[in-house]
Amino acid sequence: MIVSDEKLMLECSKGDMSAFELLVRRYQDALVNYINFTINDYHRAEDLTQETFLRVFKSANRYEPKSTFKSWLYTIATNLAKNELRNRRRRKTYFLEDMVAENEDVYHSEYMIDTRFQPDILYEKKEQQQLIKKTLNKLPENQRLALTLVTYQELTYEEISEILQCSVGAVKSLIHRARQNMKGLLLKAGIGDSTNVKS
Amino acid sequence: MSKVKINECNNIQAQLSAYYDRELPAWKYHIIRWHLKRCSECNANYAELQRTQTFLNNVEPVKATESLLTSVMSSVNSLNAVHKERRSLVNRLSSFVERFQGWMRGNIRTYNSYYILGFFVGVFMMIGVTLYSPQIDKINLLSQNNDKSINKQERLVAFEVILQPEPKRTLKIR
Repeated sequence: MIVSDEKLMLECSKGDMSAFELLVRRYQDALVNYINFTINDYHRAEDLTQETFLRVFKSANRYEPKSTFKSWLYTIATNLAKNELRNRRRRKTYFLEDMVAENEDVYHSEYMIDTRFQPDILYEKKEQQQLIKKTLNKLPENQRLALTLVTYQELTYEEISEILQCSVGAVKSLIHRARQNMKGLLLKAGIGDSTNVKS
Repeated sequence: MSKVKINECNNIQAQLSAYYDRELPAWKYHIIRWHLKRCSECNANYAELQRTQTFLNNVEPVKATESLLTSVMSSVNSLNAVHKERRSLVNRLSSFVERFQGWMRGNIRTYNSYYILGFFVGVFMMIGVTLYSPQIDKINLLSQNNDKSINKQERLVAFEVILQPEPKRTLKIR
C-alpha cells in the first residue's frame, strides 16, 4: 500500500522521522533534476535540494494539507532556485558554457584546458543534450520553470499555477510560448531540423 | 484561405500545447483532434511541437548522489536536537495549554453533565461574589485605619469648590 505524501507529512509533523526519510527518498531525484534544469549547476542543485528538505522539516508543524504536498514542495524549491538566480545576477556569476561563443565547441574552447574527461563527454548524444540544456537556459525564467515543471516533473497546469502563483490561463500561455521559443532556439542551434533528428 | 478559417486555425494553434499535455476539457480536446485531421497546416504545427518535445524528453534526468539522503537526515537530526534543547519552559507550557484546549474542544460538549454542573457552579459563585463583596472590606486589615484617614468624598468636594472659577463681573455701560 502506498501512503500518500500528505499523510506522511502529517506523520512527520508529529515527529516521525521515518516518514520524513520516505518523503526525501521519494522526491530527492526529482528535486535535484528540477533545480539543476533551473539553475544549470548540479552541485548547487544538490545544496538547494537539501535546503528545500530542511525548510520542509522546519515548517512541518505549520503544514496544512490544503493543496498537494508536491506543489508545496516545488513552491519552496522554486523560490530557492529563483533566489539563487537573483543572487547570481547580483554577483555577476557566469558559467563556462555562457562565456563561450554561440557556435563554438564548449569543450574545445580556450577556457577548457583540462582534457582528461573529454572522451566521456564528447559522444554525440551527450553533446546534443548539453546543447538542449543550454537552449533551455536561454528561455525567460518563468517560461523555463513552467516548461521544466510540465516536461520533467509531470505536474498538472493547476499545480504549476500554484507553484508559480499565477492563473491556469497564464500557465497555459507560458508553456505555449516556451515551446514556441524553444522550437525557434533549437532550430537556430541546428537541432530542430527534420534532417537532424536523433532519438 | 478565408478569414474565419484563419481565425479558427489561430485559436487551435494557441491551444496545441494544452492539447499535447491533455489539459483541455474533453469537448475541446475532440474539437482540436477533429480539426487536426482535416487541417494540414495545424497538423504540421502540432508535429513540430511534438518533435520539440521529443528533444526535450531525450535529455536524461540527473539523479541525486547517494550521500544526499544521509546529509539531509543528519542535518535534520542535528536541527531536531538543537530544537529540543532550546525548547524552554514557556514553550512547554504553551504546548500544554494548546493540547488542553484541543482536549477540551474534543471532549467537552454543552450537553455533557459535568460541563453543565461546572457551568452552574461557576454562575452561582459569580453571583455570590457580586452580592457579598461589601463584606470583604471588613476582612481587609488596611480598612481598620479608616478613622485616621481623610474622608475621600469630603476632600473631593473641597477640591471642586476651590477649582470653581470666579464669575466675571463686568460693568455694562448703557
